[in-house]
Amino acid sequence: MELSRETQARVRQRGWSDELIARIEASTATDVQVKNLSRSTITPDRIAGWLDFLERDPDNPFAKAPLDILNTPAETGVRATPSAEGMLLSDINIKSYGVVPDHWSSENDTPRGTEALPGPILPASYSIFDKSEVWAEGADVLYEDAIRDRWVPATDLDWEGGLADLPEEMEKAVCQICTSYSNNGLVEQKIISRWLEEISYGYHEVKLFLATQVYDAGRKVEVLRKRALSNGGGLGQAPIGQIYRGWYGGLRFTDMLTALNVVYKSYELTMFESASEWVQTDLERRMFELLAQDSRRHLEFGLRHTEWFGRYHPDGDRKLMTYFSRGEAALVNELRLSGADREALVVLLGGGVEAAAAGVEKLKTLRERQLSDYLERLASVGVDRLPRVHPALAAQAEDPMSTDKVAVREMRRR
Amino acid sequence: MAEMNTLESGLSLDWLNVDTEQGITFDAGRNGLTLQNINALSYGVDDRDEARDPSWAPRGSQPDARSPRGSVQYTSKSDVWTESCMLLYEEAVQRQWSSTRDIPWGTIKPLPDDLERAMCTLGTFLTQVEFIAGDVPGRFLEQIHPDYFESQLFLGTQVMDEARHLDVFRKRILANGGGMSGAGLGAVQLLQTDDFTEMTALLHLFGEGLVQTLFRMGELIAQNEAEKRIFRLSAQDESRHLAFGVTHLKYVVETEPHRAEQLHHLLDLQEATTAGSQQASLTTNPLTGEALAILAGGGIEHLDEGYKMVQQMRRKQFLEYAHRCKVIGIDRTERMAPEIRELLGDAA
Repeated sequence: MELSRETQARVRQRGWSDELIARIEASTATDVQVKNLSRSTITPDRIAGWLDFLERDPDNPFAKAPLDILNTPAETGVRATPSAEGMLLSDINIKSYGVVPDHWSSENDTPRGTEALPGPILPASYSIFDKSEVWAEGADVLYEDAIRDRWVPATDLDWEGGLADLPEEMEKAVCQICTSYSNNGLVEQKIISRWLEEISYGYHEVKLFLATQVYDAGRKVEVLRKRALSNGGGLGQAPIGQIYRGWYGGLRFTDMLTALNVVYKSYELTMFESASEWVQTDLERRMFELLAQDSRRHLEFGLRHTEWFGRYHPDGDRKLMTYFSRGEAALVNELRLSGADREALVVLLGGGVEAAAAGVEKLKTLRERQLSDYLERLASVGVDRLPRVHPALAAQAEDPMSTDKVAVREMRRR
Repeated sequence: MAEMNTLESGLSLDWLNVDTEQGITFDAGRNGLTLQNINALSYGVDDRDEARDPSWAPRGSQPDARSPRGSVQYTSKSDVWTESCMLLYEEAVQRQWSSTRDIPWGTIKPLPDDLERAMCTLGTFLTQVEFIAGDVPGRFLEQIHPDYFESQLFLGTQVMDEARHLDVFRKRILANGGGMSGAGLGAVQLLQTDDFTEMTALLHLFGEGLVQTLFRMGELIAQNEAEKRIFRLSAQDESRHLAFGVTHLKYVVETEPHRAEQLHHLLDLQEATTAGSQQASLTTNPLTGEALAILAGGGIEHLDEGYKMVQQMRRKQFLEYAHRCKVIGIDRTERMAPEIRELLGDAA
């Protein structure tokens, strides 16, 4: 075999000796193999060792291996340096690997930073190829936070000493709240996980974060069910699930995420953050602290996506207003139609059935806080929702026991 | 009590009289309060071979009569269940690890180009595979009826595990100067599965089975402690996924024996596809075989040694696969693809 001119030039540039080149040309080596070897800094003595292998075992299937591993279309020479906390995603998002494109063109599972090899390509089922449809600045950090903040319901909570005997109505009220939010976690997990296969590889940080939310949602199901079954109560009334229709009804990723990770999560977070006002035992106090920590990340992701979508997606602001309206309608329907949750909270906040009036007042305060937190959180990402917030949701803050007409999506002209 | 208080408070208090089992106190065991601990009485799954109407209400709760139905849910326990899912879920939660902190990244030192590029080629392939391995189970969570929610919870941990695998292999690729390789055919075809048990057979039993053997042999191809740890921890995760698949398929065969032939047929096709792959690769991607042989042999000059070890690895993969099939109750001895049977020799 005579090396091609190109390969000759390459190997001479590498400083390979005439003797080595002559030995190569006398061997069973192919031009492709040698060209690939010349792309590397493998030393001449090791090249000679490879020639020894070809002579020693010419029938070995790998004697014909083209050594294509040495020929990559991707950037080489990248050496990420771990941070003090370890090797973070942000540490490897460098050079060409850190460029997140506005549009991702690979339809299969080609990772960001490289290209598909020549040959057949099997497109996958992904439908999201535009950054504006899915991105949230800092998704990589939120992913790392989720991993760092992991906790274990079975062993991180004091199931032996953290609970206490409660009056029957208080125990049942706690169990009712646990039943509903556990169920919300179950459906949250279903919804988020079904969207994973829609998101293309260009935005893998988003998928990584969503995987943590899938995991967190499962933990919420688990821990709240365990609490309901560990202290003399039992499960209560399941949610009506009107809010799930709102989540499932999201025809676009942002639509779903607005309803779940922004509207609902904001109310959930304030509920969990206020738990010290209605929990009955140390275990619940700790449990809701940990759940709030998880919810905070999910909400943060939702808010950052809202900001990105509003800024960069065509007609993003107008679409968001519709999405918010839809998400708020789904939430308020759940709030108004779920008498069990509302009454359980009244009992817990008041301190018993006999103090229902005080409980209703405190529920009103909680609903006011949930609404104002929601509006402030949106304002923090540049969304002024105050003038357009769903009237029925605003009405809940004035009369949380209201159960009048069912809310529909509010559509208003600007 | 409830009736009197209703009058006084203005509340209906219907929720105090729900038709669910009350007075429940399940105690924590040696491993804390686990799903197994609370799986009893009307809250347990043991006697529920068929689920209630498609719904979103958790097992043991009182459904709201107004609730919309769940859209696509299997209602037969056989379709989604394994007796191991509670145990595997709890283990998954206990054994979560961090690619950021639990890998000794500082042990990675500069490598010769062939070894570095080989590891990066393998890593690129694995990030492709793990990406899909999260998407595929992700599709099926919504199809699990709440009566069998533990199975859903386990798949949720798998989605998390696969994300971490993508993350850790990408980190390794970018840690030492190698960079990504070109992307070959990954595992997109797994997204074509349309049934839970089919998904389990192709993803868990077959795909993850092969990958798990590779990871467990990671000591042979790792060049430093960081890579050894990556393979060891990833293998631990894969073992759970595999166990989920094997025990689910066993449950299917035990409870619906007529489906054994369906599984055989699926595996006939899958084995034939894999056996037809090029070179001595572990996958249909020839680059991966090349990379493994270089890593296993210790460099391009030892590709003969590498080839032997890759062959051993491949043999081990299919020996373990054959054994798992027997455990499931679908002995493949007579039906295994001829190329694979030849690889196994007398052991087949």
